Amino acid sequence: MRPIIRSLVVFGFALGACGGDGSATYKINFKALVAGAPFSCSSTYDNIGSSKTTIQPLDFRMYVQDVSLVRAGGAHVPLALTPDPIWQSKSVALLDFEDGTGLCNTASPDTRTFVTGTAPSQSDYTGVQFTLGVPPDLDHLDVASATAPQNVPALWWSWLGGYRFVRIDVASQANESWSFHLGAMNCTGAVMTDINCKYPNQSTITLGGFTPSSSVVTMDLATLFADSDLDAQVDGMTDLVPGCMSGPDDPECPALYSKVGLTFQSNDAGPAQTFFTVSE
Amino acid sequence: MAQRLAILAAIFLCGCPSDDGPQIADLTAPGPVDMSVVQSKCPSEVPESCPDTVPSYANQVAAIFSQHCFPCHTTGGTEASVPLDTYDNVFAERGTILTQINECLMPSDGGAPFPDSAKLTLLTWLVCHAPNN
Repeated sequence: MRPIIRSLVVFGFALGACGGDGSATYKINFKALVAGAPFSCSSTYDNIGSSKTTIQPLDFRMYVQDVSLVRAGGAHVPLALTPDPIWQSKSVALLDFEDGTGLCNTASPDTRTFVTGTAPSQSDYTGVQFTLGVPPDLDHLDVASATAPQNVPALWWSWLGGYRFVRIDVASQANESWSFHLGAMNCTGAVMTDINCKYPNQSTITLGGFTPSSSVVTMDLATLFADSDLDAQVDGMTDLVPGCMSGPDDPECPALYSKVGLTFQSNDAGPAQTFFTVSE
Repeated sequence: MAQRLAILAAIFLCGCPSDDGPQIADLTAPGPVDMSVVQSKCPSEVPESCPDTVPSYANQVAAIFSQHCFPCHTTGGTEASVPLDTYDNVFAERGTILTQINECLMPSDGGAPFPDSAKLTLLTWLVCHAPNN
């Protein structure tokens, strides 16, 4: 090897060693299921919920934030999200499991089933943690001017209402659309001023037994809907919409909130979440 | 000689600060270069766990940022677009901060190098959820 080339090779090697143990790009994979079967806008799923109904997906998107990898000793190492033009800012990542086919009339054919970012390279990451939705200080932007991924009108209620942290819509045998839309509640304030929400509904999910290179964060809609009657009919008085849209006193919300570790209309800790699990 | 100059140049560009003095003396000696010496310039110090006593943002962490990061990461600084002068600003950047500090990429030009104790304080605070304590 000519001396100058050898010198360049050594230079590159030495420069690459600057970072000590260095950082690595990590990819947190997510997978959506319905009763153990892959989530698909073109599929139907039987025996869902308390009425054992048949459902077909209409939508499934959600935001996550504050992603960290958990070391064996318990240290939470924050993942520096890698911003891109569509799916991630440095603070928020959008996951999109619907592909616009079947009944998913979303005009959103692209899917996104992972979160990616950098963190110190460690061999003892055994867990993952993330929070559903967007941070409170980013929850009241104008979707028309917000940058990606907070520029999706279908995931935004209003300036005051903020974003839908999780949007899941399905058709059941008795309802053309049955929804679970999670977001902050009881928000007050004026546009372009500080807006505060009595119930921020920030659910932090912590999962053990997670190996970044092989594990997948798995969500099963059958688990989420296990205690819900997706065929129930609204009465127009105490229940205005099929499903839970995080409105005041919405009767379908408590059962769904409990599945993601929240207590409806309360800031008290909810029961242990059951919607998210880890699979290989 | 050319190889040693290349390594010296790489170390210079890397800019890993350390208060334990340069560890490149061996590069001036004859014989093969010990690359492990170069790598040990910035060992990963990410704590394995969060201790019972978490460093205080108000009493410890903010002062470290003020001393080592404000020349650039504040209004009027060369990195004013990434301000680190409030808790909220620091919290929003915590992932990037941890990675860059751990790799000795920060402080870069303009900021006083971290003493090892300050680096460990910051990393410990960061892996304990970066509380506003």
